[in-house]
Amino acid sequence: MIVTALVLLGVLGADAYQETFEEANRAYYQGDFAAAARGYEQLSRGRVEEAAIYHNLGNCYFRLEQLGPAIANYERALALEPGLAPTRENLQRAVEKTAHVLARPRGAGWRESLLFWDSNLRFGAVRNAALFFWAGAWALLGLWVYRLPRYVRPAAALCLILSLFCALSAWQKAHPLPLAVAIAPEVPVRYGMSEREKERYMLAEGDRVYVEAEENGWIRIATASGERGWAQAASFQFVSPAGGATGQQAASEDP
Amino acid sequence: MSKTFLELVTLARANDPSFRDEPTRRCVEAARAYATEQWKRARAIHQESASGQPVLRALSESADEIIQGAVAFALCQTEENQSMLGTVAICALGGYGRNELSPRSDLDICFLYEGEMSQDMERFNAFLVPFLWDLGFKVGYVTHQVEEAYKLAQNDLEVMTSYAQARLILGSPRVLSQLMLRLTKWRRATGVEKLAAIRTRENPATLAEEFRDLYAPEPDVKQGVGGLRDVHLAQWLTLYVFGVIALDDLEKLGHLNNDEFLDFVEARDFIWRIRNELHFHAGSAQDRLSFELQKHVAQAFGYGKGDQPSIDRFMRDYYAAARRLRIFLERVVHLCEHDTPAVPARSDDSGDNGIEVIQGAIYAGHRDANWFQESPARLMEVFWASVRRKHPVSAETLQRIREQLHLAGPTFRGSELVRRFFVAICSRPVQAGDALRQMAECGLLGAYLPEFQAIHGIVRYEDFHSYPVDEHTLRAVNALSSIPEMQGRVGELLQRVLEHLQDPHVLVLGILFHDIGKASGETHVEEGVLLCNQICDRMGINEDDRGHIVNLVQHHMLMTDVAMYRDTDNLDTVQGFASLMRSPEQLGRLLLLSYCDLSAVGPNVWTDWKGALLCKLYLKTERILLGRPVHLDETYWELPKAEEVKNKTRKELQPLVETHLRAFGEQYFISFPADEIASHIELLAEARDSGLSVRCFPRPETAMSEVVVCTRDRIGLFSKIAGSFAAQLIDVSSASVFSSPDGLVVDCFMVTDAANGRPITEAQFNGAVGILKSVLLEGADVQHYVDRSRQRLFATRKNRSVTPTRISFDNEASRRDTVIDLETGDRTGLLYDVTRCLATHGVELYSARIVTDARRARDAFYVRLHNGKIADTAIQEQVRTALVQILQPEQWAEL
Repeated sequence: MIVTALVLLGVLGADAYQETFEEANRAYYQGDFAAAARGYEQLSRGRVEEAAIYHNLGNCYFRLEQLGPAIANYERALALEPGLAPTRENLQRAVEKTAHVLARPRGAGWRESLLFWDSNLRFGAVRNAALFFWAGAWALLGLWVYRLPRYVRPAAALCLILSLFCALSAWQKAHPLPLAVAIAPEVPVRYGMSEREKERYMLAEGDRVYVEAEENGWIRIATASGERGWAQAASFQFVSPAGGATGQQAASEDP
Repeated sequence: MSKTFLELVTLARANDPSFRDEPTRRCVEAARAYATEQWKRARAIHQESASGQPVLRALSESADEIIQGAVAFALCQTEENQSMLGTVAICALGGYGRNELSPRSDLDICFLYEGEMSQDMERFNAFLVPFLWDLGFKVGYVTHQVEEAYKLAQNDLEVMTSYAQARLILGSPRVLSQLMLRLTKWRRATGVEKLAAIRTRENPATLAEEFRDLYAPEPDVKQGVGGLRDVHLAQWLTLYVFGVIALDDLEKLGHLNNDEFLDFVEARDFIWRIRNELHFHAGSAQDRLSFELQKHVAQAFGYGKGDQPSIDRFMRDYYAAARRLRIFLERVVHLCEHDTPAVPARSDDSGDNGIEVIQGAIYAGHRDANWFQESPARLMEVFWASVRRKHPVSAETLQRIREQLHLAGPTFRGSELVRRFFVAICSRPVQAGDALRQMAECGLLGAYLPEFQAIHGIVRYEDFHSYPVDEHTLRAVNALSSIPEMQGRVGELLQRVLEHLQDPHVLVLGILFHDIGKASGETHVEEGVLLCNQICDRMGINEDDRGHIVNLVQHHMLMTDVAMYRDTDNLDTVQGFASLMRSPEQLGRLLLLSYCDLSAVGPNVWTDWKGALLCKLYLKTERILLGRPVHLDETYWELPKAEEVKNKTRKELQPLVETHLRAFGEQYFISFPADEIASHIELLAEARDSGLSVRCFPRPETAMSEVVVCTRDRIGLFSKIAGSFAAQLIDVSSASVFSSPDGLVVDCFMVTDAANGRPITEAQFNGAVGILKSVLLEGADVQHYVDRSRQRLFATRKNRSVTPTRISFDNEASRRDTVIDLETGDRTGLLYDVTRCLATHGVELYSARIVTDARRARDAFYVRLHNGKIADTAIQEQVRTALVQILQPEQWAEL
């Protein structure tokens, strides 16, 4: 069970927000997960991008044995705060309970090799680092004009390269993989966008897929194992792209 | 060096070991490069050729090649390799099956197989389908067992028709023909039921609203009426009834004559060519011919010169082609329905002279092949019989007339008998519309009146008509038939005028000829009068009737202009108008003509408000013509409506009602219903205390909101209000400004949200009220708010219609004011820009009539400069130039 005590004041400064959040937390403590989920959903619908809310929402759904929404919400929380170890653990537990235990679809190969270091960093952190190195590089170049310390040139070049890497990482984080999670117990995947089409294979609740295309209420998906096909978009929850996370997480417990 | 697609295909077909080393990614890249090359080739063919079909064929062939190559790659993934194709047919369906693949259409492919789906087949599909996705094709891929496909086709019309037109790309012809044979047998057994199902689809009423109108301003070349859907429907129908897949067979089997068929082929090819251009240009399956794309296509097809494409001429050709496709579909429908004996033996009403009513339609001369030749006047007599007996002419007879049109030569046109029939048709105003439309459809109207033929399909954007001139004219005549069903005071007056009309043929001929001068271009009224005289001479119409008809044509816009844009409370204006009318009958005809003309301009152009204004002018002018006294201060405030206003007003305000009505004038009194006037009185009472009161009323019937602003009058007030709306991205589609002698104004605006054309939201209204308060009560600068809103350009509506701006100054219309008439394409913030421009030139606005319909803003501003008229032409010119610059900085203006 996870208890999240958040320092939210100053983030929004809204009493109503705080009240709803506390009410949802209370419901969670009392074991009323459906009511707690409703409270958190209300907050997330109010366009409050908080990793903690998604984390708690994921826990509620996990308790309600709705693996699809649980996984989708853990993914959303991780998109905002990639370093959240408890969320990562809970996500792993939820995935292990799914029928297929499908791996998470992966991005392009170059991303894995170039940006292996940034998986636990937030968008804001890498963006700030990019700006810092960029400014640093120019400052060093400025010093070089006055021929003050030695080895300034290589240091400026290094700063420039680091700032480019950080910028690339920030861009990647601002454009995350379009992921969707199956929320129906069984989701048929077909070659075409029609119910009349033969089903090729079934996805189970909680399976994460990469969304290649979207058209007329259908999505073309690809799994980590390379299976591809069309499925009805209504059977999925989208892990919507989230940028610049805010908020702090103080403590958490296992579900 | 990496291998090309064709080289890879050769290696794959030969099952060369070196192909196994090639990664799938390389094959995709090579195929994509090949597809791009083929696309460019097709585009070059499109640019060189004046026809649409070669492009469709080239694209189908190149898609075939790519699929055959992809199949070769996929077979390498299987164990049995080539032997799998013995039990499988890979077929093209839909447009691709007919070799009519448009540049960005879906590739409909079917994997048809015998027996059970083997693992090899699974592997094959799992490679082929994603391969095609990765190439960027939009693929509709289906896998069916033969038996399964047969059962599906039996239950689903769409599956049946797509399989009926299937074409083998690769694999076993035996598998496909097995399915086709079974389907053909089944179709023969159940043809009639299916026909009924297709007929339901064919009915335009079942289509989405945007596709129903052939003359839609931005038509859809695929889904719309007269688009390619009509061709497809014709194909399906013939498939069920005649068992032929290609429409060419209809001609070969003798169901259609050569001319009809060539007409169809030409029209279809033109639509194909347009669709190809749209797809190539947009890079997507763009089928809607929007205004921007009309300009582009007209330019690409060489209409007009250089940068000034003649969109009118292009759209004229488009509508003509769409109409031909529609006529062709109707012909095929008719052929299919009358596959059984063409004319039933028994008639409902065996009439005289070989004209009979059979199953509710007029049949003429069907028992005698030479019936029309014996007396060509019978061509016209048939329609007179249709009007007299109130039945439409049958499709067979229309077809016979079409074939006999050569009889309608100069002798026919000059014949006294024909003239009598024609005038007799026109003397039944309620029925004449349908008969004239049928005459136009079979070509007889054009043959009898070559001047009418000349306006066929002409689209003039500067007229803001939604329809080509001939269609507008026919709709206008047809509007007469709707008068007997009209409700309300306006309807009653129109009915009374129509009932008491002497010589109704004069009215119908007047409507038929009112826009006949548009074939020649600019000065259509003068040209219309000339042509009208010419026609009357030829037909031998008597002097009296001719005078009336010519008068109608000459003044056909006058009554609408005066009623809507001039102050008809001013006796001089009404007297000036009355002096142009010869008699009360002529006035009645002009009223009916104005009604018909307005209602045929486009959907929702005729409104009760316009009707009320026309009726007011009619009643006043009628009194002058009948010699009865007309006073400026008519006691309209004693009418029952005034009593109704009183009843709806709060008790404490009731004593103010008469003063209010007298202060704002009769124009105001008739412009609003009683409950609105009552609410204005309350608003004014509020405004007297607080300085400003604003209220928003939803008007769901027009999908707009009405905002009423009551305040004290001041310089530049109107501009400030218009600016407040523009700042909230609110479009003003009509406005009426009324002021009372005690310095209070009631300004009513019909408004919509500029972003989506819907009624404004509460937040928008509150925003506008906030701005109004700060501008009017606290003296803030409205320009500041407008500038801020202009940064949100994405939400605004721009002037998309290609129309010149017209500005004219009229010093005759009013005793004290100069009237600036302005006509231009509508856009967000237009009203504010115009009023601000007037204000910066020191021109004061006293009253305004603002009407927006069919994408046109037509406004009349009553203005004064230094408390007098703008008589100095130099100043007029200065104001005009400034307005033109604001309205159409990049386009031309007609000065």
